[in-house]
Amino acid sequence: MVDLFALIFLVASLFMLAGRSITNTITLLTVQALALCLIAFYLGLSTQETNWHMVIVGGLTLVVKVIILPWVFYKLVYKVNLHREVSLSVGLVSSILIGLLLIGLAYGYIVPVLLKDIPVGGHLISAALAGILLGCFFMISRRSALSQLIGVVAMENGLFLCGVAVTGGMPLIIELGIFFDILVGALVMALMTYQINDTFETIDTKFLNKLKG
Amino acid sequence: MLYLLLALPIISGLLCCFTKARNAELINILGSLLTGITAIYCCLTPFMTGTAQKLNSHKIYKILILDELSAILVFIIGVVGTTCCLYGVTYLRQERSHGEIAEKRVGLFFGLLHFFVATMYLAVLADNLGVMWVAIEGTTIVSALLVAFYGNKSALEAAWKYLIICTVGIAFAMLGIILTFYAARGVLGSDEISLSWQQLYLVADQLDPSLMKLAFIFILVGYGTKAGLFPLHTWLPDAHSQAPSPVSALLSGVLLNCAIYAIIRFHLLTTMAVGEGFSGQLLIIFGLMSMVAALPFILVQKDIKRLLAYSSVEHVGIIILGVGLGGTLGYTGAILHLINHALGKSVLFLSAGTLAQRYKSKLIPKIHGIGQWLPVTSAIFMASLLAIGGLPPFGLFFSELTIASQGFQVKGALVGFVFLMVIAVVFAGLIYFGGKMYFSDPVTTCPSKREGFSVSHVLLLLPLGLLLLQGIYMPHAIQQLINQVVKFMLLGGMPSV
Repeated sequence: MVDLFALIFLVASLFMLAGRSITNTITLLTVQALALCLIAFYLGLSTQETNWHMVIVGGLTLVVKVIILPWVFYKLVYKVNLHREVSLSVGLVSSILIGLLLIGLAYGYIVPVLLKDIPVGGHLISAALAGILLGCFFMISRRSALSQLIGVVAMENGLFLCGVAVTGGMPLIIELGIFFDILVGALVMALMTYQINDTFETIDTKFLNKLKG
Repeated sequence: MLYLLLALPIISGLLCCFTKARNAELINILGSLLTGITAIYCCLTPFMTGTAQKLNSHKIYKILILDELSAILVFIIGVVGTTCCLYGVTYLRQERSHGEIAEKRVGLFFGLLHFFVATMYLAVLADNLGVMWVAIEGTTIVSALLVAFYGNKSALEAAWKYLIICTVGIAFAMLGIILTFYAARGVLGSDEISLSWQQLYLVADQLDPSLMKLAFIFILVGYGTKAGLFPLHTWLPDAHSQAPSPVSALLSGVLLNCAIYAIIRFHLLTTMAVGEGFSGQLLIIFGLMSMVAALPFILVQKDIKRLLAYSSVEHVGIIILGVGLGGTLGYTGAILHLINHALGKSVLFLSAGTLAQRYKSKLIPKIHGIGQWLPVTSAIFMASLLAIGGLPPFGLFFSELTIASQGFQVKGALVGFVFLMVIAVVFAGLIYFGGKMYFSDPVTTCPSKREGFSVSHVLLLLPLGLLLLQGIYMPHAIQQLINQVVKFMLLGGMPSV
């Protein structure tokens, strides 16, 4: 069951690389977060004794990553008037190929070779690491501030899954802190995207190139 | 007491946000003074009582803790943070009279400044890797807002790069923390306690070495980004040069040190878990690389604040190198340099900020004849420039010398030689630029009335005086304190008895 959700997570991450439309990307990000939330709920409720830690974390994921953040991003898209497609720095076909390569790297090298000390149950860790790598690459391959913001959230999703996979979730106080950080961080980035759009009249990051040397 | 230290800046920050400019200034002055006094009081306690926060084998866990190493950082934040907050008052008045910053945003500025200070206190006081991560990520978010405060194109660009690069970087540090948690869980159980520094140090030799090696690499990448280590330093000159000067001073003097502090802690833990060599070797390589990589940018720089920012990259390299070399000399040098650089660089950034403000430009060729127009500020500027360059009467000379001698001792002639060469060339570069600005004809628009001596100069002279004092005469008591910290680090994070 968990493996199925992890697969959904992975496929959503990969599909994010395939499209140029920003609204589709936000939808995929929501799907990704929903998969995380289902994993957390499943792990929390499937055991004999209800694991409240996981249930709380799942609920937080639902509120923060499935409801609030996509809503903020959609609002931002309308405010910034960004219905056009984002410009890419890596072509679509090659970025999907690189994405597949990164997944292969996570499944074939990082987990079995570098992390061989951690007994792997299912492919949760591999999916999580692949998610982090794909999120990172998503940021590089897109040249819009909003896409970079989405990439950061996708990376955080991967990190979250990684925490769940490796340790069964970080201690609750830290989990809360991380959620708070993501929420505030994403809001600040959204605010800044808005300011960038006001000042530059575009959120294409290729115009952010004045400072060097 | 520690909770008070966190609460004070948060309360004054909140108050500042919701009041008018005039009151915000007052609250800022009061709040930062109170915070500074509390910080100094707090950081003396572990030395006074010796056993103040000792936990040892008892499984007691507190969220905030103050040991010898964090006391040094609290001292730095206390002194530099207070200076910057106070200096910010004069700076903002100037900016307002130039019309750069609207009256109603003054309160917001001071509020964010205090929040920034609060997150940094949390980062160094937290006895938990996770809380520390959350706090360091918090510093990024708050300070990015401060970097973007002017709201113009270059400020926004700098802030955006800073936010994105540091957030991505620090995500890797989280991976390191997850691995550490996994390694510690088998020994300490799966509560928060297994991420407590104090507890981890006690069981460090039972942690899986290969996992800890991997974790250290992730931590070094993550916090190294924040500290401005070479391949990931690109955000640093942008953010430092575009931020309002009090913020640049805080970023360079304190924030970098917080990230270095995280690396030092993890280095101590890794050394105990893996054995000598592994993490130290990495730190030496990255330290030297940062020093060498900053060099060309310093020599051809045109923007004065970027010049200082690259000099910060170089100094972070020196500190990391000192930590990597280890031993009594290496650790002493690194700790002293941490303090000295924070004091010197913050004064330098603040005085350079005043210069740039008066000349309405940050470009070095446009700032000339500072000696005639602004005799007091320029004297302070030149003195701190010489201090940062490492001229003998100042403390930085001695800390650099200490690290260099450890370098020659442990790693042979090559490391020591490269280290000294970089410092010498950077010194020449700084003197060249300083001389060009000081010994030149004043600008024609310069008003005949010279600048007088004012309260804000006293503020700058205080850290500078500390630097000078330390270079000329180190009181026995302070030497004792530094020794205690070094002993703490040599024992690998165990409280010295």
